[in-house]
Amino acid sequence: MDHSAEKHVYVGSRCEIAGQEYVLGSEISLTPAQLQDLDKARTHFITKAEFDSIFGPEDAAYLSPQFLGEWSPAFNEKVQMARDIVHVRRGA
Amino acid sequence: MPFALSRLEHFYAQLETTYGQIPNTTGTATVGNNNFIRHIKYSPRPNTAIIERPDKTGSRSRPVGQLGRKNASWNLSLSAAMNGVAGTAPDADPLIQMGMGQAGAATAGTAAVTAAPSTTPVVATVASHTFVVGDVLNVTNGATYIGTFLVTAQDATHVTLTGSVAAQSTTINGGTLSRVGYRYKLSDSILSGSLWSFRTPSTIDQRVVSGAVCQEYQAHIGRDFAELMFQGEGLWMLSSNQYSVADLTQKSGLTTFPTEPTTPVANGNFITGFTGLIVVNGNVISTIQTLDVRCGFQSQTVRDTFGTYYPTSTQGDIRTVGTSFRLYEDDSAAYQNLIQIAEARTPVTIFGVLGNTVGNIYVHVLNNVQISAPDYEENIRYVASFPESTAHETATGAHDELVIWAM
Repeated sequence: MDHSAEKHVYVGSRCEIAGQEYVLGSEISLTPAQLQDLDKARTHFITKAEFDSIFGPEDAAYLSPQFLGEWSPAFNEKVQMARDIVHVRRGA
Repeated sequence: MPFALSRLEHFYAQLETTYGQIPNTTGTATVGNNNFIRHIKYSPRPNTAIIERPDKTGSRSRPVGQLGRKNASWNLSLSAAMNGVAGTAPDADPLIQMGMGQAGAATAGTAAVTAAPSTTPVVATVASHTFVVGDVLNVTNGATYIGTFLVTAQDATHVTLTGSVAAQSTTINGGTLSRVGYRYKLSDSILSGSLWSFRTPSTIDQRVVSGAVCQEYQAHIGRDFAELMFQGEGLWMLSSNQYSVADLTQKSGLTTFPTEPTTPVANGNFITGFTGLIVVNGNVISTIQTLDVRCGFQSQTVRDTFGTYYPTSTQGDIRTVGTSFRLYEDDSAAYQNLIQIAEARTPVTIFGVLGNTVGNIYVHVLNNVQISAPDYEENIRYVASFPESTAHETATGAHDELVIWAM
């Protein structure tokens, strides 16, 4: 087991890694090398700490996999902020 | 002896930097998890010609032939899926690049709408913006998606959103115009790629077409899911179980046939094929049944080089970008205009938006389409079937008969 792995959260709309599906809010433990590979694969993962600094308990309903409705403007803005972290990390 | 189940296949695509050289590091293929693309069907095949001696033999029976030139052909279909996050290239990026002839580019820029009078199309007022005519914009209000529209006019503080209608003005007002997307433009360059098929079990032939070029691209819109199709030629189809007897050209730079990457990554969801917007000559056509975009890129391999059995490089002929579509006849002004422009062969812009979720919207802009007059069919309703109509560049060298946006 790689002990440098850190918990990350997916902030894209949907991706599939080795057949496993991830939706907004899905967690996965990634090493820096794995994160770099996923960056290359155009996925959108941020660290759990970064995620927790943006999203709070008030967003729990939106982050449920069962949620099918429309995001509030405030939640939408948070998602954009989270995705911007990925873009900045990639230097885009 | 295990069977190879056709569901158990993964497709990967890579662009080549040198024609016919599979991307590699000192002979080891660099195909990786990020080259994975979900697909419906991939049909690669190696072609080997037989040359029969034409001389008379004194017999009506055929003499045994000799091995002729070798090459490959391929055909791929997949459902349209963008990245899921606007501004990021879709997984099918290498395939679209092979068709369009150059890399796409991320587009940026947003503007808040401060007023939107009730007109068709809606002309949005903004404090300032960087949009130009031909841009494609997503319009949202909060988290609500309003639509994806084409900029057909603008000044310092106004943007005309073709495809929008007066009824949308109240939601566009207070919303945001966004060009955050990924845009592909045509180029006269020709890009080649290596197209992989990894199957299960791994002992069955794993395959790669090297030196692949895209001859044709099609997008089928209006069905339950939007299907994209790419096809073309290649240098050779190398297979893992034939690797040991392959010659250097067939090996295309590899020193060993790779195993499949272990954790392939796919982004985005497929697009529901009947969602979106079709605009012809500024009129929203709501009665569209199906619309197909067909691009004959005419990128080919050079297959007549003296001294070699294999294709040696690429060449390209005049490309043909066109569209055909079917819609129900009605008495609307939009339909009447469509018939007028078809009969006059007036060049018009066709703007096709597929999808209704930001980050998963696929747009074709076809310029100067000279629509052919329709064939009329009788189903339950009368149907006007507009046959293949060709798009043209707006100025010599503009290469803008087709622009593709992932929004």
